[in-house]
Amino acid sequence: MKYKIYLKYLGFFILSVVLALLSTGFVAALPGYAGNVDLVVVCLLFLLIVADLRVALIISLLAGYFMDIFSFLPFGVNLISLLLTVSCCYALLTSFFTNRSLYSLMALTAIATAINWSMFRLSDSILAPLSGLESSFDMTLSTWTNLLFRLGMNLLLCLVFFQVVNFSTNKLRPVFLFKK
Amino acid sequence: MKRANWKRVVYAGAVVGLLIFLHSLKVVAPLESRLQAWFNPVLIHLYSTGNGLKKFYYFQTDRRDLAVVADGLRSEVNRLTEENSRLKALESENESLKKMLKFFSGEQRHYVASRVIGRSDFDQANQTILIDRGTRDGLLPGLAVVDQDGLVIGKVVDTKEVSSEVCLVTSSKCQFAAAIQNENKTIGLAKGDLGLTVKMELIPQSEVLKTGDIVVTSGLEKNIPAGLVLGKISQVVRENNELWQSARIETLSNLDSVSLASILLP
Repeated sequence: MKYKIYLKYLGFFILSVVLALLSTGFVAALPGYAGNVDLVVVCLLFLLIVADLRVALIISLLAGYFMDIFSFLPFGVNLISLLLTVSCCYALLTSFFTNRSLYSLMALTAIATAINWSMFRLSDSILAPLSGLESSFDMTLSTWTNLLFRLGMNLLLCLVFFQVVNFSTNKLRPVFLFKK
Repeated sequence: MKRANWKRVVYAGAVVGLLIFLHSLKVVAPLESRLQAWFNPVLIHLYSTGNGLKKFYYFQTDRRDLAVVADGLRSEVNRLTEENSRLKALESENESLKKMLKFFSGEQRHYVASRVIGRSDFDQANQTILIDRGTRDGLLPGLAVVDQDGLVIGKVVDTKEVSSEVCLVTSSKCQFAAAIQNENKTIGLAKGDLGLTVKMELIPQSEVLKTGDIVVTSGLEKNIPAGLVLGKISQVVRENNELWQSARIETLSNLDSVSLASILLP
């Protein structure tokens, strides 16, 4: 039985590494707006639904750590932004978006994108001076257009993931309660 | 149940704090370097795959424009052929003169070849690429990075043991001490403009600039040799009532699909 637990955690580790490597190497090289997609954020959102908060937190910690290793931003920017995004999404999922329909998931994806984007910049502006660096981001018009494209691509990815998860699991099926 | 979940969030926050603390003390630096070294080859392949998809996409979308571009290139080739023959004659004369003066001129540049493993487009105005060479290979911040044709694509801004961050020449945070190959050899500062182009500003109105003039590094910057091609002037912005004029510089290399880069060592 114990080996099953070790296998589960090994699976978490491999998934985190794959997400971090895909996000850093593959997604960044894609053409046009496809390079703006937040693969890790959307995957974490669906992990919150398909699995639970514990799994999403573990994956966010591991993926964030690997992304911080490869990134040249102040260490901790990815860790903090992913953790805060997962926590906020969990709060919204359990309080407001409880029906888990496509529309509520897309709304949650939009909110998660905005939270991750702003937490990323906030943690960079806090951690950069502590590391003796300058903050890497300027607020220009292109910053806002980048956010819009990122939002659009994340919603598209959410749509794709929703269809895949809906087809392969029962986690997104509606549950009908009958009064006896 | 909810309280237990929020406790998990707090514990995760504590783990994040611990990781940041350990990183700042450089306790886990050897592990991080080792992990980077292990995963760099994987990143190279992933980036190559993504880059291949990008090239395919651009080829499909630009197909219809290729015929027009080909016509323009034919006339450019003809012009360059004529210029090449003239330069060869000058080169031969130069060699003879050098021999006469017993002047030895060797241009040996030390460089490190690298592959691109990632790209950071989170901020469109400050695009950077990640390469698989670092301090272990002698890299320092401030070194010039060129592509296979020797055209400048950027500058090293940060280094780790086995990787480095390079700001692209069109990035707002990337600037080079530049010189224009015109009659006056105008010098100035070439700076990236919003991730799209390069701009050279504060050029006196008395300087004569022409569209098509080649812009190179001036050699006035530490660790960057003179003569590296940055691009060519695509537009001269000149207002009669202004003290200064500026020039927009078009880069000659395709910064969107860079996969190989060489870093010129001091």
